[in-house]
Amino acid sequence: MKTKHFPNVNETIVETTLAKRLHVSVIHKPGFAKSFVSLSVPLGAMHQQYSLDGKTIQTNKGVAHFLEHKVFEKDGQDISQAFSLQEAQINAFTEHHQTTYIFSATAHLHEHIMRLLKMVFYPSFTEKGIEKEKNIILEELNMHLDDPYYLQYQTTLENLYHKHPVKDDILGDETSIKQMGLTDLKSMHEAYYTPEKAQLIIVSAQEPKTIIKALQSDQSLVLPQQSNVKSVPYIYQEQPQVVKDEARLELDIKTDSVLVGVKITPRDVDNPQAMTKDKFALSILFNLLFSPSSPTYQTWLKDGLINESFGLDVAYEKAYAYVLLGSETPQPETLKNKIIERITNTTIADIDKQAFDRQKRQMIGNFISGLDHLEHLSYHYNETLNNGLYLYDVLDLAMNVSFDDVSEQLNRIEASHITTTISVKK
Amino acid sequence: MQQKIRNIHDIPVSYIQTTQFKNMNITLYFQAALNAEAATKRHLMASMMQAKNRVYKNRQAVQETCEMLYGLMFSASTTKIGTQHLIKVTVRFVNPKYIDDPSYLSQVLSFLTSMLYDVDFDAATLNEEKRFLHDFFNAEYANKSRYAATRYLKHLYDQHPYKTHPFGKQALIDAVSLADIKTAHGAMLNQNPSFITVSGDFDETTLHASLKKHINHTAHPLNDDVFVRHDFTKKQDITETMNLSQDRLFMTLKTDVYYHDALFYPMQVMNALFGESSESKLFLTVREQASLAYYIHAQYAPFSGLITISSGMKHTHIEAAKTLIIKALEDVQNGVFSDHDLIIAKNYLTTHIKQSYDSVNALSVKALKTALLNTPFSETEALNAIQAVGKEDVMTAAQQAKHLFTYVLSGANNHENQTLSKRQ
Repeated sequence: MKTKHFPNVNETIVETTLAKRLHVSVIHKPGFAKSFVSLSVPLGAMHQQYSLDGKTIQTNKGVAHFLEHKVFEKDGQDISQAFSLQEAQINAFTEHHQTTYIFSATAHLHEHIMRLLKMVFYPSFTEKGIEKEKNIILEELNMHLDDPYYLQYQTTLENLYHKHPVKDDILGDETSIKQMGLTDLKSMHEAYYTPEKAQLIIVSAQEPKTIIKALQSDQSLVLPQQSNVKSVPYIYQEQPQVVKDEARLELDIKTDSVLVGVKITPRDVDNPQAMTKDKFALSILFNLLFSPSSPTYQTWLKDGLINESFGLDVAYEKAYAYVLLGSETPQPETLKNKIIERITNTTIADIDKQAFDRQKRQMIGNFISGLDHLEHLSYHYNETLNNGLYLYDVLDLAMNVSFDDVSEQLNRIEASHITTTISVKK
Repeated sequence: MQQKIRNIHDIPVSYIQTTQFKNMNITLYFQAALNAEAATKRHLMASMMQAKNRVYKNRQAVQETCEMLYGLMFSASTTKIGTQHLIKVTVRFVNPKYIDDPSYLSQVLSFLTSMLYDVDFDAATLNEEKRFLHDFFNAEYANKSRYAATRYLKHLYDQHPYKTHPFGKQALIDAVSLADIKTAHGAMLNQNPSFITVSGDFDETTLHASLKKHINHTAHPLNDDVFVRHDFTKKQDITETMNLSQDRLFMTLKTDVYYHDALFYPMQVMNALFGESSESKLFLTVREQASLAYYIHAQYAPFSGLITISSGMKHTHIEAAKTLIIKALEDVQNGVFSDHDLIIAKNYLTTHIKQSYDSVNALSVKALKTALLNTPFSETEALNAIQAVGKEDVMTAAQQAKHLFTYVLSGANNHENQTLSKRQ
């Protein structure tokens, strides 16, 4: 059991490995009524293959998400009732790179953690349950199909990536959902839901060592045996160029909109410090160019080219990285051209040093603010742990990002790495 | 956690002191009656306050200041509670104890009060804000789930005092003048009842003294007449069609049970059991057993005494879902539920109440509702009242619920048109 205290933000974590296989971190948050627990496994929507006896077997798009739904079923019953019975609410979400099961509880923390581990590591799938779930997931998909921003986002990813499965809808598509079978779910579960690769994170007011000792001494904690079904690591094979530079969607909307996607090729993925520094530098760069305090944003807002829907998102994982930015606009072609021009024609001379310093101050504030939101804290703790770092050390890394680090990010982007999806009124 | 009310120039300030947070929140609420014309003006005025002023000359200067103040989150917007319209001006900022600058709190308070009092309204900013507000209402159309909810509420509240959106009405935006904005601001400071909340980890005496130096507007007592007992009459069900992948279903139940009524807590438990949670009867029957929908949810609104059930599904599943919803309600009315179901419902509410004290922003809203509704701030009374609800109470509450109205935004005719058409 290892304890680390971070005095600058007055936070303490205790971590250990349960049964020498499952890493657990407890973040101590005195005063909070709820405890928040997450268990993440490295099966995301981009993982669609497993290996058996040396052979790689392809499953269906959306298998990680489908599996996430079915993990909740036990003997035909929804396990979430057992959580609710003792003041807890359980949920889950699937991302491109992982699946995370979460619960918040105001009582019976230990029992809920044990329940979560059993649920995630020992599911019981049935053909009947899988068939019933198909309609539910198809309705989830239909709900998204009525959302024009979702369609624009999905189209942008499809045009950024040639082969990378991050371009696939996390839910899969109608065909893949209908094809989902028992073998797909069982095999993918055996391959990817392994304790060694999972992360259990507990954020609670309770004393961390007490929580861990209770878990260590609980005889009912039996982690699953290792399987001969193996995960298939994703090997990045994408070229830096996008599939196509523009797509147009005609949608039932009242205001046209633009979404620009910038494909970034991840680098230094085995060097957590370097990769994290890159991530911050890229994020600072785009904020300097486009955040509401930038002259560009303010000029475009004043000129009526954008409105308050303008948004910027930087995704940076080991397996993929991209930047998305866009807005509703009455002049989609003009906005598209201006965004691309701003990205590709910026030089270091265009970047304001004072703005750089302000961005860093904002990062300090945002970091400390995030510590009050247990869900946010748990998510980012997990994210940095996946990269081999402690969340609390990340702020130091961010503060060490130099002006040169930021300007160097400009060298990673060319016009051929950029795609745009324009949505126009039907 | 301690809550104490003190006054600054007779304006009540609710200090909610708790050590768990690393953020602080200071919010000022300004209250007025809810009506479309005033709401439109007040919303535009609040947005203009947020944009610039005499000290921070443009939007960029405001943003830069927020960044310099370690990512301070500043917002001036509008919301509503029952019959009341509220301008809400908030700063959320890092607790000064984590910032290596002894003047940080003073800078935050100066910024907040400058944005409130040093206004500099001009025609150009008004036009920008009008454009943004038009864009906001137009964007409602794009998101079909949101659009369906808007249409549903429009039909449901057609003659009701709650019908006004807190941002006002799109058709009234263009008529708002600069003089209207200035008048609305003057009224906010000199005529509106106001209420201030401070939540986080702070020394109350010191903070009170600092705030006292900065706050400078006129006190008026809060109007606690915040909801009306409206006699809803049964409405004709409505189906409208447009180009959709999924039909959106809304069903309204009229309960006539409001805040402070004897059945208030039983109704909360009834709704949790019936349709609020993922362990409710609706979720288990409509989604888990019949696989008709991805989501189904019932929300009880004690300001209106209504329960709204919302879901999305294939057009061909709508009738089956309606039947299951009515059957689920009848089951609760007839006591067809177990003690186990009742415990789950009560524990669902219990955990929600306990968790509601875990955010500086939520504490501010809680303090406001306490002031407006004269309900206790402490969780104890609510938790005890919920645990005391028995099976008979739930059945009695359920028996108050009567079907009032069903609205469907349907994609059934999506091959024919994309323009809204109505079938009654």
